[in-house]
Amino acid sequence: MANNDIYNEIQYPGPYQLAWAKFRADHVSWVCFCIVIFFIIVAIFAPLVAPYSPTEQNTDYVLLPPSWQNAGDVHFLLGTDDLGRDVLSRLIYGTQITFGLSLLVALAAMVVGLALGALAGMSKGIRASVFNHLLDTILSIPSLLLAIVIVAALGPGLFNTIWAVFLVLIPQFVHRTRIAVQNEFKKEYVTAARLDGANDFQILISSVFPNIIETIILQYSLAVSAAMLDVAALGFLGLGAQQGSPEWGAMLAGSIDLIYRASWLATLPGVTMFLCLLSVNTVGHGLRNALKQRSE
Amino acid sequence: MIVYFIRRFNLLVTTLFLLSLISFSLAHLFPGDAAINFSGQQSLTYQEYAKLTEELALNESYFVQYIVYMQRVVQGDFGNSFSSDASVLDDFMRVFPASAELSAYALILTAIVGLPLGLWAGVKRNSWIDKVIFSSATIANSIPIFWMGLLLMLLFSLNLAWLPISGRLNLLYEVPSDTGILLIDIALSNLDNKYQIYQDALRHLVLPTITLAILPTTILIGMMRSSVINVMATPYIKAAKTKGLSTFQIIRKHVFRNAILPIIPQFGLLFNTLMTSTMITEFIFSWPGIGHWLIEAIYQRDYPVIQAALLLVSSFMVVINVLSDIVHTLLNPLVRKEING
Repeated sequence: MANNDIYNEIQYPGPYQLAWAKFRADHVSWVCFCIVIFFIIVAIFAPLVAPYSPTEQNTDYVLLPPSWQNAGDVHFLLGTDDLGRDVLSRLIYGTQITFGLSLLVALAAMVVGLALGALAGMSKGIRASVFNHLLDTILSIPSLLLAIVIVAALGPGLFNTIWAVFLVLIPQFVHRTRIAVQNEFKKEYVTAARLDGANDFQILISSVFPNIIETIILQYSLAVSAAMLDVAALGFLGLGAQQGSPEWGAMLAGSIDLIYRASWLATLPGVTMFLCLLSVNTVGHGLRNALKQRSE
Repeated sequence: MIVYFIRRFNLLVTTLFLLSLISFSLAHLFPGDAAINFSGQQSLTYQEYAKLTEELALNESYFVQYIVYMQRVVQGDFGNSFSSDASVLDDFMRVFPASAELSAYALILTAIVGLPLGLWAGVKRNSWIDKVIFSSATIANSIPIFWMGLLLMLLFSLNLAWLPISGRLNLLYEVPSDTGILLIDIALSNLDNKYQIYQDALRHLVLPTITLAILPTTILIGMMRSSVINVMATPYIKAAKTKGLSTFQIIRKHVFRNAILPIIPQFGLLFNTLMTSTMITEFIFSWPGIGHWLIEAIYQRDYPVIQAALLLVSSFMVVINVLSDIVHTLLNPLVRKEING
C-alpha cells in the first residue's frame, strides 16, 4: 500500500511487539496474565495486604466458617482454623511462600540452566555425549521422586525443599536451552556472523540468545508451575514446609484431620492454588500460541 | 537397525550405571555411618561391625566399595529396613503389587477415557466439542492431585458416604496374599463370601483409581488431539475422503492407527506422571504401595529403604522409557525408514 504520510516514519512492530500483540489478542491468556500479576503483587505486599499475622491466634474465634455462612464473622472473611488463625491472612502469606518462592527458584534455575545449556549446546564429541547421557538419566526420574530423594538426603524442611526443587528444575532448562542453541547454531545468520570473524562467545551473546529468549520464557512458565506443584506436594506430604506454616500444601495437609468439621480449610487453599496454577499454565499456553502464530 | 538397538542398549546400560552410582553415593551422603546405611543393621557389636566393614570393603577405595555394592545389588541384597528389620527386597516385593495393580487400573481408565476424547476433539477440531474437551483437559491439568484426592474424599466418602475413605479392603475380610494383586488373590482364596469381598475391594478401588487417572488422562487427551490433527491434515486422509469413505470409516481405518503411533514414545512421559501421582495418591488413601512405603521410610529416616527404592523405581522407569522407544521403532515404519536410511 502506498504511504502518503512522508513526514512521519511508519513504525513496524518488532518481533517482541508482534508476539506481545498476539498474546494480548487472546482474551483468556490476557485475563490469566492479569491474575498472575495480581498474585505477584499479593506475594510482594503480603504484610500490607493481610489483615492479621499468619500465626496470630484468636482463641475466641476458633473454627469460624467463612463470612458468607450464617455462623461466620465478617472480621474473618474466609473463616479461621483450629487455632483461630485467619485463613485469608494465611492464604496471602502462603502466596508469598508457595508462589513467590517458586518464581524465584525457577528464576535461579533458569540462570544456571541457561549457562550450562549454552555450554552443552556448543560442545561436541565425547564431552557432549557424556553430558547428554547424564541429562537423560536425570530427566528420566520424575521430578517429585528426585525432590523427595534430595529432601531425604538433606532432611525435611522448607529451605531444603527449595534446594531440591532448584536442583530438579535445572536439567529441564539445560535440556531446552541445549536443543535451542544447537538449532540456532545450524542457521545461516550464525554462519554469516562467523564469517565476519565473531567467536563462539560473541555469537552466543549477540546472535543466539536474543533468538532463543522466547523459548526460555516459555520454559520458565512451565518451570514455575512445576515448582509450585513440587513445593506444595512436599509440604502436603509433610517433607517440606513444617506443619503450621502458611504454605498452601502444608495448609491442605493440616486440614485432613478437620475435613469433616471444617471443610473450608480443605477447599480454600486448594481453590487458591488451582487458580494460581491455572493462570500460570494458561499464560504459558497463550505464549506458545502467540509465538507459533507469529512464525506462521 | 541393529546399530539402533545397540545404541538404545548402550543408553540403557549407561543410565542404569549412573543411577547405581547415585544410589551408591547416597549411603555415604546420608547422615550416619555408611556401614549401617548399607546393611541396615543398627545394633551391632564391635566384632560384627568390623566384620561388616570388611564385607562391604568400606576401608578400601570407593571403586572397590562400588564393585561390592553392585555385587550385592545383583544378588538382590539391599540390606535390611531400619523400621521393620526385614530384607528391603522382601518389603519391596510386598508393596510393589499393590502399586502396580492401582497403576494398571488407572492406566486402563486413562486409555479408555483419554484416547476417544482426544480423538473426538482432534477430528472435530475448532468446533465447540473440541473447545469443551480441550479446555476441560487444560483445567483438570491444573488441579493439584492431592487437592483432587481430598475433594473426592470429601464429596463421596464424607458427604455422600458412598465409598470408603482409605485402605484396600475392609478389615473384616482376611484374604491370604499369594500374588499380592488383590483381585486375583480373592479369586484364588477359598473364602465363601467372595461376591461381597469383590464388591468391597472394588469400592475401595474407585476413588484412588479416579484420582490417579485424572492427570495422565488430561495429558493423553492433549497428545492424542494434536496427533489426530496432524494426521487429519495429511494427503492420504484427503484421498480417503475423495474415495467416498464415511467419516467413521476414515477414523477407524486411517486416523486411529496412525494417530496412536507417535504417542507410543511419549508413553514414558505418561508413565512418569503416573508414578509421581501414585506416590501422592497412595499417601492420601493409605494405599499400601511403593509411594506409601517410600514416604514412611523418609519419616522414619529409613536410609536403606530410600536408597533401594530410588534405585528400583527409577531403573524401572528407565527400562519402560527405553522399551517404549524400541516398541515405537518396531511398529512405526516411518521411523524405521529414517534409521535404515
